[in-house]
Amino acid sequence: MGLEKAKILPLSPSSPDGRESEATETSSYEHIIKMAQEGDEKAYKEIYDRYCRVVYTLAFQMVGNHTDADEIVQETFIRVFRNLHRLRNNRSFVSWLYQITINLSIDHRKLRMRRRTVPIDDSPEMFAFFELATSRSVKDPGQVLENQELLEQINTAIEQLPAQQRAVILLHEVEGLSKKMISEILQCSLVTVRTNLHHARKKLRKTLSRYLKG
Amino acid sequence: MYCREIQDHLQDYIDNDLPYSIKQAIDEHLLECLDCHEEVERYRKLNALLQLRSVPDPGATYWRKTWQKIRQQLPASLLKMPVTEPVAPRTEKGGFRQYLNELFRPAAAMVAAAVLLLVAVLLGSYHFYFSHHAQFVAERTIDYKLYMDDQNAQTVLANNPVPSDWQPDITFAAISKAAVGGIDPVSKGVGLSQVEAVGK
Repeated sequence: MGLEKAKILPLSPSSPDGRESEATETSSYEHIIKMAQEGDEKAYKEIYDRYCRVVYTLAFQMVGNHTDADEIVQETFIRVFRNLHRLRNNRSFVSWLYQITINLSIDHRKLRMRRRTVPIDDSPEMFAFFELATSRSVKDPGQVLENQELLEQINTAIEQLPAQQRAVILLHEVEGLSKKMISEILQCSLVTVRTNLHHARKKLRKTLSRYLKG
Repeated sequence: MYCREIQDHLQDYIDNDLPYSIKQAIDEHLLECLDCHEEVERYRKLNALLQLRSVPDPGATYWRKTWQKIRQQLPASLLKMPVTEPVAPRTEKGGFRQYLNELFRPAAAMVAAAVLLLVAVLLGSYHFYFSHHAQFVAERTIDYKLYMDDQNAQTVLANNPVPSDWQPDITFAAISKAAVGGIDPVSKGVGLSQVEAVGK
């Protein structure tokens, strides 16, 4: 696989996450989008640098393996750059980026299921690519195993959710996006987002009930 | 508030999406109802569990290579600057052969060929000069004699003896005339000597 085990990616985007509140940040961000629309290569690179981790994390959370996440990252940015000139409102760029990533992730997953193929790194060890944020400081081997088991359970529970519910719960709970923004990304109503979130939580609660007691 | 009502608002309560009045009513209920309190705690724990799951960073090399791949797949028309072909990384397997390939690229080969050609021409000229030296000297002498046979020159030379230190120039003139047929410094020299003679 050749993955360099290094630092853990932040759960929330390190760059603007769609809630650009500071005027200066928003204006520079809009400027970059504008420059990219004019074909400035540096602006393309800047966009990639800002959002590559966000896209990768979301794709990885959605598909659960590096091979697919890698393909999704490439495809997402190519699609974004090719269609950037069509984006009328630069402020909606992040929603659009999330939207493409989610759609490609859902497509990739469908394709895998249809073909019944297994990515190279989609083995029982694939869960090793996810890491528990707390496990890094744990030295006790018993505790590490317990954490590993917990991680597998969480991943399995998320994997079993329908695509739309998985997208909603990941965007809301992991990415920390608002329901309104999720409705923009998934192009559905707020009610649909709330319903999906509700069902996803109920299912996860059921699957992970043993870890939620006491 | 009743437990049933609380259940209806529980998700929004966890997400902090409720108006202050309803939120306060739920807070008060939770202080009294253990079941509802536990329900809220379970959702909070679930959120905490989901946030524990994180994705390791694939590393700087991965991000760099992925950008190169993306850039290569972008049509040149999208970019102000043309997309350049990246230098293929040298593989371990390629080894010495690949090194030679890189060393003898077409441009380098053309320069090397030009240098070799130039060296060959210089060596050839050098060899030609020494092998034909005797013949060259003989031809030069004949030319000189021919020059000296010239009527006007003879007359001028008879009246104005050529100074001994002019001899190299005369020789050079003969050689030049034999070679290119135009340069005639002797005539100039003779002319000058005539001017000097008149002056005297």
